[in-house]
Amino acid sequence: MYNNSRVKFHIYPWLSLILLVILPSLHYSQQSFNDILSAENRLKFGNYLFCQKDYLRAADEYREYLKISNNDTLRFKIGYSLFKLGRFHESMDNYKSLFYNSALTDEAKLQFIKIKFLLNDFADFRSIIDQKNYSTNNYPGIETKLYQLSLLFDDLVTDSLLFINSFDQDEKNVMLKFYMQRKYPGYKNETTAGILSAIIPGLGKIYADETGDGITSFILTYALSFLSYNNFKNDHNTRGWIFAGLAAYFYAGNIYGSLSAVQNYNAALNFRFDSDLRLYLSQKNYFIHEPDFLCK
Amino acid sequence: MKLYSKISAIIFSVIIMSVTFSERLSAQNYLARQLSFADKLFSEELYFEAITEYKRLMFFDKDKIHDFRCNFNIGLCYKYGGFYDNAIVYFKQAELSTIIDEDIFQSRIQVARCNILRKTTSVALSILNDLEHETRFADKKEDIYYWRGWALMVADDWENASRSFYYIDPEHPLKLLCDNVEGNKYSVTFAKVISYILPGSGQFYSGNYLSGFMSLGWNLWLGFLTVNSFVEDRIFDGLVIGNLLWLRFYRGNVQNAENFVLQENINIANNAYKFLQNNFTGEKP
Repeated sequence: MYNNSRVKFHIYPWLSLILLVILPSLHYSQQSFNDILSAENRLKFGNYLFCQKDYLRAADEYREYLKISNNDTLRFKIGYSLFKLGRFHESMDNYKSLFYNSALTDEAKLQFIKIKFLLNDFADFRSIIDQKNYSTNNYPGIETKLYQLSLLFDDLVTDSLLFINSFDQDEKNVMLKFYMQRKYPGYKNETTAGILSAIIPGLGKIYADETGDGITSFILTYALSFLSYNNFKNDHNTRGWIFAGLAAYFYAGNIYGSLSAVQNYNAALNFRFDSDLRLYLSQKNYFIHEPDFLCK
Repeated sequence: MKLYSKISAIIFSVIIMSVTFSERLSAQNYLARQLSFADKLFSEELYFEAITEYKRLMFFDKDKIHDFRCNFNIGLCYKYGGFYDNAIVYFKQAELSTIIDEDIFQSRIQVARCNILRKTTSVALSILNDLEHETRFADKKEDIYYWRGWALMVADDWENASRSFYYIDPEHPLKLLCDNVEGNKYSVTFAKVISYILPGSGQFYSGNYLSGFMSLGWNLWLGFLTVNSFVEDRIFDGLVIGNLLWLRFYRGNVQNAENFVLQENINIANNAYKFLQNNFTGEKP
């Protein structure tokens, strides 16, 4: 009895100590579950998703974080995520929120300008650049480059020297090549093609680099004309008229086809110029050096 | 005193142990809660949200206890959402995050099923062939044959698909379906050969009677004109009409017969696919 009472007597402080240790740890379980969704952990998880290029979910996590704490880097990253998701206008609106009182103002403006450029409405792009509200303090050179390129896309470059001098030394040769391509694209003339085809069927197509079609046109038109002539000569007037009609149809078709071939040729030149220049700009990231926190 | 010392020692040990393991145990506990939350979203078919929560779980699961399950379920979410490329990435990650043969098998089968769904059936077949040659999956032959049959059906190879289902069961419903489709299909070669012999007959064979009559008529008329030109010593006329007109219609008749048969075969296959999609109750890719 004595021992038992001693045990009882001494066990209470020990039990209290156990409860002090175990109960908080049990509570910790629930707390840790909630901690996963804490602002800090949302930020960490968002950064992980961002680096995994899961931009949609990263933006969601960042938005949740921003409900609790302001962070310009995250606003920038949300804009970047939306840009990567192709939601250009939403992205621009996000960047606009960084235009004032932020350490990332210039970077945000650059991204904004880049997206404006990518929207292909170059007249609108130039009007934005002309408004000083959107100008950066530290990157005026990039704005000038993109401005000059927008003129090149619209074929509005008037001063070649001004255009070339807008670019850095290592870019000048490439830009000169693009400028010359735009200025002297080597278009074929539709009227010339039409006249050539009228004189010798198929010649207009050969002029437009469609040699096979040109030779086919030549053979068909002359074969049908000969058939018509031969049938008239042998008093097969009905067949003569049928072949004459067909010959006239092919003759007219050959002229129309030559004009069309020239249009295709010129359109292909424009397309090649556009895609080459866009590829170059994309590889240069539109001359923009992106911040290191973008997890490249 | 002795009893008191023993009890004190035990209690002290319990305290030390609880301090040491409580954090670890509770970490596992909250991860389990996160997993059940993600599973709940998954079962409610909220796949976008489920992916987010599985990814969150993987991010906080430092010991990678739940990696296989998370990756596998993310793969399923993407698959159900129709993002097969993403699904394959996660099934492959699931495969890499387990050492259990059953899990590895299931991951690879899912990759094969995604390839069936995105119609890269050659890849699916290659995966299934590899699985078949692995001795550790010797007891999984039926699964392999089943999905190979599906891959072959999607690849429009009904004859081999039938053979694959035959290995599972000679009376397998999908085997019977494949046989039915194969039996209903028209022969392209036969249609072309009879069209060469009698223009229009290929179209008759595929059930396109009007086109068959038209083809026969054009060929008879132009054939007559060509022969007549030669008979009347209008050699140039004969050559031109024969080459530019008659041969064009003769060649067109053969091509037409081939196209009609191919179209009919596509219709037969499409009807089978519709049945599989809407009425077949067995497991689908």
